[in-house]
Amino acid sequence: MSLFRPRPVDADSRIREDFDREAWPHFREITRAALRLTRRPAEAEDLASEVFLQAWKSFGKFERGTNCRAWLYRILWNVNQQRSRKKVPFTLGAEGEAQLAETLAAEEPTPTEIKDEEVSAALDAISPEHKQILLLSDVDEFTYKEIATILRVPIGTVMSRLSRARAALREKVRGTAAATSIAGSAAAQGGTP
Amino acid sequence: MNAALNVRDYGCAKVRRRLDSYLAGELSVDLSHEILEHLDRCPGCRAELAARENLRTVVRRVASAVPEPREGFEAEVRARLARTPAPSTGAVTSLLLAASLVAAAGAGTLFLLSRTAGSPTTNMAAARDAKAFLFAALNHKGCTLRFDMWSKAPSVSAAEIGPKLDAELKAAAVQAADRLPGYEAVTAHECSHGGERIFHIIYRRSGSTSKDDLVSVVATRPGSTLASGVKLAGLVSGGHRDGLSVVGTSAEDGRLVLLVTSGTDDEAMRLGTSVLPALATAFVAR
Repeated sequence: MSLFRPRPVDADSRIREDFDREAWPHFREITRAALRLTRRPAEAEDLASEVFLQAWKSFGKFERGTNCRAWLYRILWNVNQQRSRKKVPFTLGAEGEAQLAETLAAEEPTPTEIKDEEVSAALDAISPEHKQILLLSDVDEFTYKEIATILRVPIGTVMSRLSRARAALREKVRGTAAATSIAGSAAAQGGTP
Repeated sequence: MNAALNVRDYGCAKVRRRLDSYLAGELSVDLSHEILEHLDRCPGCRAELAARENLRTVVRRVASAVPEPREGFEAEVRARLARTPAPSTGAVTSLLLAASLVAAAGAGTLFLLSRTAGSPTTNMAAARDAKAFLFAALNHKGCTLRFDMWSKAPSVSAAEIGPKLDAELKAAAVQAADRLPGYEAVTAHECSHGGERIFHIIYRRSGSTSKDDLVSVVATRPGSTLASGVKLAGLVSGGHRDGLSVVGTSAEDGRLVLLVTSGTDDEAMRLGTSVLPALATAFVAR
């Protein structure tokens, strides 16, 4: 008789049932979140597939009854961050701390009339980590505390990073809106032949 | 257009630094009160708040405009996982869960408990419900910090409660003021959550000056994002935070009405039964 008995079939069934109940309901949301991050369907499918594979492999460590959605987003964040690091250095880019502090202190008012395409362009123009935290807060509607868990940073870091991300987005939106306005005026002054 | 929005003074700059957290509902009740008071008298900051709210709406719309996953993709991933051996679990997981619950209890973290199985008036709260219950508990804690001031104020009659409220809320407050047996209404006012106004009545046990004997009833406004997606059928027991018990119900128009007490679950349910259905009805009737 072997000393190493295989795991009983019912134990495997139970963990698969748990995974069905806890994780699979979030599959579509995670896939869409992956698409928001990558903007390319094939890459998003690859990312979402990897997230669920990693989630399944580490499901034994997941604490049943806790926030599985936030746990899956944490895996999504980790996998995406690992992949991003392979492409470009993970930095704050052009948005230096000092510059942002100055921006926050003397910020112009937020435009009241903004177009979807202007906001879409602004989202693409800010740094990936700023975009990520904005999406977690404003689109996925996680609380600061949940975001801190997902990103594994202190809640104070979440607040300051979000504040900088929002200031950066507003700055980009202002720039885009102003450029659109100038282009519109120039076209109007040019008249028709 | 933008000239009127310029920062006027230090108060404006301070408020604008916190406007986003205010919109996200992440400020303490006291800070939210300060922001609300400033907004009441500052049209520039009100306009900035509206502009930032609009920007968030557009961000949400733009970022949500991604297609659903390709048909068959989920099945492919399921098949891949089916070929992957199940992870180890069992006693370790149970121990981790037990440890996390002990840690959560020690830290005073909100966690949800279903009430007695089979009770027709209760169910397990979902995540969105949890957010509403958590808000009610925090709102109660934040506002009752000012109890010292209230304990010195004379009791008010039902007709006198909430003098600054608009007609609808005033009428609801009057209806609710005498509904809690053994309690008297101390004040009714509006608080804020994520830029939305919340209706709040505070009761105290008759003759008591202890904070532990205060009870809050909190109600959302129509269209509140806090109430979005929350369906509390009948009276629903919420959760526990720092020794507080919360029960809630939904009005027919979607508004949530929640009661918070330092008492036991049974006490919360008894008080909730006394006042919440009537208050929910009072809103719908108008």
